[in-house]
Amino acid sequence: MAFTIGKFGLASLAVLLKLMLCFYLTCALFILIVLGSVASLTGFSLIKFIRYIKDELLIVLATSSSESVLPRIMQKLHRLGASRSVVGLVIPTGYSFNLDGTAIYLSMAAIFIAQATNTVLTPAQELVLFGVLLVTSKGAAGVTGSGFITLAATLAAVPSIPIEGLALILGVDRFMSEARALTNLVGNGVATLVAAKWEGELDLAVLQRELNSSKSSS
Amino acid sequence: MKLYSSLYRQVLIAIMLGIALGYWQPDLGVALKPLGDGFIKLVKMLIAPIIFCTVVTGIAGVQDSGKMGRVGVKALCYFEVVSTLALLIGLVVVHSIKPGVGMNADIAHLDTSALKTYTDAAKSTSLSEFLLNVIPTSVVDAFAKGDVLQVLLFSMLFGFALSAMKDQGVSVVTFIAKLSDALFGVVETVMKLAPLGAFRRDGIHYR
Repeated sequence: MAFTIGKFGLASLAVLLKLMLCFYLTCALFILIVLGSVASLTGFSLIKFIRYIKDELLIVLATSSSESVLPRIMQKLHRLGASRSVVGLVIPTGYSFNLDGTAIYLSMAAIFIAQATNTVLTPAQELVLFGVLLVTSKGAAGVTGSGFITLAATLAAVPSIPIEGLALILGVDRFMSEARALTNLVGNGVATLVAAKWEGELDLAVLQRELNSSKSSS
Repeated sequence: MKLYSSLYRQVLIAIMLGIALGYWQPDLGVALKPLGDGFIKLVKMLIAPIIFCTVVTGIAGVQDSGKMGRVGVKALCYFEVVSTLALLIGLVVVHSIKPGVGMNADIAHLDTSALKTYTDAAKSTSLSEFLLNVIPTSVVDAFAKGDVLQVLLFSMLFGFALSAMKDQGVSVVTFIAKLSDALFGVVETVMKLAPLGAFRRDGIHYR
């Protein structure tokens, strides 16, 4: 952070702040609109679900590690009426393949670096980037670890965006990792309930009772 | 629920303490980091056995083995669609707000020395290599490394085998269900330490 400001002055700080705000905003929009619609189609309120897992979300925020709540979130989803078999299958695979927050981060950061380095992408290059993102964002390329490493892998595969540009956002990456982890966690929770519903392994009566009881007692 | 909401408060207080330490006592903040790392390690040691118990008891209870295949395929399709939507939303927002325009960064003047660790770690593997990596070297190795996908693979196979044993397998399933209860008991205990996790991000993180 200090390095980036020292090198480019306060104006660059304003630009980086704008990127961070944009990213937070996009995560919020994604959760409320996309996951919110998925939740209401499945038959529950996303807001109530978020309130139900607020402890887990706060712990993720505190530790910036979504693994720190993996056992607890499995327990809570089972308590919400999803069968053990679905929870046991969807949560571990979702932690590897369903990284919604990371996907938002990757697309925004890659284009941000292009913009900041005055790199103009042709429509064909944009398509290549999108194709690479489709793979890297799902961990299918075998890239594990932080979103920043995945971003490095993405840019390494897209020659049109200078990979040196990673240095621009290295300083602020940690401020975006929490929003990534939170979005990933909410996304996986919703995915589990949806998959359970599709297979008739979700007890909707239990779901409603649990979601409403947590509301009244907190 | 009262206990949970108090955990919420404890973590919140710990986060604020962490921020305060970062500002006024950064050295102490760094010194406290092992507390947070310890909490993460305590949780991580439980992940593999918990996935094993949950998946085995879950699958052993399902008589229709095709059902698990359908859950897997449907979940993967859902992951594809939703994370592609996430990518598209990110692209739309970054193209309309254009946060990076005007930074005019010159890549020739960027200090890229700090990037090497990340670009080195970013070596991607081929699809076949990735799939092969889901198979552990040995069952014990999967648990020893705590590799989630490897543990999941073995757990599913074991669950299917138990399910096929029908009545003969009941005692093993009951045993694993009890083991699961005990492990979640350990989780309960460990989660009481969750506020310590907030010290994992040393003070520097907040500045």
